[in-house]
Amino acid sequence: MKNRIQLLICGGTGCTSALSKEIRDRFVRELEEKEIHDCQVTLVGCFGFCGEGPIVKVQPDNVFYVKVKPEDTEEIIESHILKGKIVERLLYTDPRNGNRIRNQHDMAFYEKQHRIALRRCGLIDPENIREYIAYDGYEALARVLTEMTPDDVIAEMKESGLRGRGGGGFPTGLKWEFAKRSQGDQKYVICNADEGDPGAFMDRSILEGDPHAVIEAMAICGYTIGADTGIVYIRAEYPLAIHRLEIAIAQAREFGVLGHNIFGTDFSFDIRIKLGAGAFVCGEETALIHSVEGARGEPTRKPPFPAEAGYNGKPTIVNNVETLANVGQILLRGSDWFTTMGTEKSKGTKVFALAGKINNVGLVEVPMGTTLREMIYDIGGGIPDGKRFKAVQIGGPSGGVITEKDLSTPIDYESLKASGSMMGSGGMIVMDEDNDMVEIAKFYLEFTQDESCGKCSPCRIGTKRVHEMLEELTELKGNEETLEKLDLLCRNIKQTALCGLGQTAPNPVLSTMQYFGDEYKHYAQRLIKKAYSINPERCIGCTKCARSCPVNCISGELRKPHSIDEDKCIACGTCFTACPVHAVVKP
Amino acid sequence: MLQSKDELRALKETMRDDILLRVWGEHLDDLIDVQVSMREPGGADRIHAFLDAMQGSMLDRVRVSGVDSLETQQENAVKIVEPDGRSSLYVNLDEEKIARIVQEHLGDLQVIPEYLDR
Repeated sequence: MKNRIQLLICGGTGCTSALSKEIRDRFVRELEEKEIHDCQVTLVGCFGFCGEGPIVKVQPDNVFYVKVKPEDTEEIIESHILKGKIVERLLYTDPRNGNRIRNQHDMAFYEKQHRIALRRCGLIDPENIREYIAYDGYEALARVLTEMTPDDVIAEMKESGLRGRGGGGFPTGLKWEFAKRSQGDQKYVICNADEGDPGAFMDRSILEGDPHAVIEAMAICGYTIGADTGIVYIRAEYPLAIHRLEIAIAQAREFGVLGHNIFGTDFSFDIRIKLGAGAFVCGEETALIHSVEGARGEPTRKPPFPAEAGYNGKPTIVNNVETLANVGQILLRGSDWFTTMGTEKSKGTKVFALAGKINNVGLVEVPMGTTLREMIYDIGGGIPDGKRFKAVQIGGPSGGVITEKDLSTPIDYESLKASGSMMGSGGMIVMDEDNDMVEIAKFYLEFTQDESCGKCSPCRIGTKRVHEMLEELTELKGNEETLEKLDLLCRNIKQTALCGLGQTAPNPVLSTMQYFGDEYKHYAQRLIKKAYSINPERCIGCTKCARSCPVNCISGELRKPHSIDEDKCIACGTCFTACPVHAVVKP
Repeated sequence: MLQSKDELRALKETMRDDILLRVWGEHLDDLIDVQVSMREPGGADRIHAFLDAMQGSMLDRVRVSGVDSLETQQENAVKIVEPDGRSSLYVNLDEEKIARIVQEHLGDLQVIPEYLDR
């Protein structure tokens, strides 16, 4: 029987943790019990609107249900599937006007998005190669192997202007050309899936939602540079992505798109997975290669670049997941099509993980050139609770903050760099007026210091000292001299550290010092009161603050105003977050 | 085990209805429907000819499907239905004519009178 209805259920990590598999199982069971046989239920990749998950989409009706619970399945079947009546209460509510929206493309979150790397996420079952093939899958590989020479592929990739999406922004076609020209009896293609920025989950979502797109692109790259072996380096903290990748590789072998004589040609290629232990530095390509070799994940100086001497000393291409996810589409639709999107020097789209103090949290893919204002206010829906936007951190711990005055900056490699930040891999953390920028810088430095591999002293010792200085400041033990030393040390680390991690580690400090120097000065001049306090006129005596305080410095009777012992308060902010009536006042 | 590009496309065709059903919803209101007559042999080849000709042309809003027959006695017929319901019935098509239809009718929305069923 032909299917009449498609029920697409988000199977990304976020929705899976919110019981989307149980929702799928209940749909299957209840449809069976009601003897409805023309409705296909499919667990698909991430739809991107993670803050509204679990998501269930009904096609071809184009109805997008949000925050669905397992117990909602019966109503969806009875009302929508059987009677054609939409379940209004499960539709997304537009926070701007309170209207219910049924079609995802009418939602501000999706209106300005353009999906290339994420095009099959939310559409196909990532565990079924047939669905990938049905949606143009392996078509590009077939065309490349039967109609194009390696030089044709390189020319097309160079024409497309695709640049590395992992942060560096190096032209992909040029990188492939270097590797093709490098002499070597054996060459390798490595997919860098060691996504480690706090808050970033772009690559994980692509691998969970469309693993074959990465496999196909690796095979195309292998053909182009003359490699027969691919390796996916992925962190072990991504179990669902690993699981789906394993299934995809096995199915690709079974269907003959990996293995010997692919599509009846002389080209052979296979892929294996190497699990990483989650070290941030292994996102740097030379450190990653050492880790794949079984050595310590430490970077080495370049040149030689991996394209000349990489894994086992052989020419190696290291491309990140999102970069690879673009390759098939470029070769299928042509570089002319790809270059219609983006800016002069940054073509195509970029995926971002939008998080922090923002109404619409999720995964977003926009054409290069989209402004940060559009990203934060249109797609992101602005700042919650009517608070003021303060800054956005782009590029994770290696990036910097961008403030209100630069919100018209278009998202592209050059513009973000000129604004004192960087594209990075795509983490975008939004901060509001309540965020303390010195604390933010301290958070990122704690991360990079912890993740420093220790090979070079500017990074190993320098980031530790920077972190100590930031602690000094926030504990009101610093002074103006601390600020001068902090600035000098950060600049020294930038110039002398061995690899990208160390060279960019001071960026969060330097950029917050540049834009929020007053906050640093307040700490240095000890003007910032250390303890939180409670406004007795607002406090309702609910005791939530007292119960959440880790040092028991809040006292008060039930339903009567509470108070904070300023001498004991460690200014952790837990009470501020816990208070339901905003009675806690920041220092 | 897929041995060739043709086998890949044949497999793709078996899954096409379900995938289109998922994608249709996105474009239901503005879809151009290309109906290929499957009455005489070679219908699948004509569908492929359309798909091949459309590749790389950004014709996202075109759906190509096979139908049992079209209202004509002529052979190798294809009916193109516009989003507003207007239709054009082309007959006696070959690969060359199909390529032109893709370029001029689907691409530039210009009907080609000389190929129409009279």
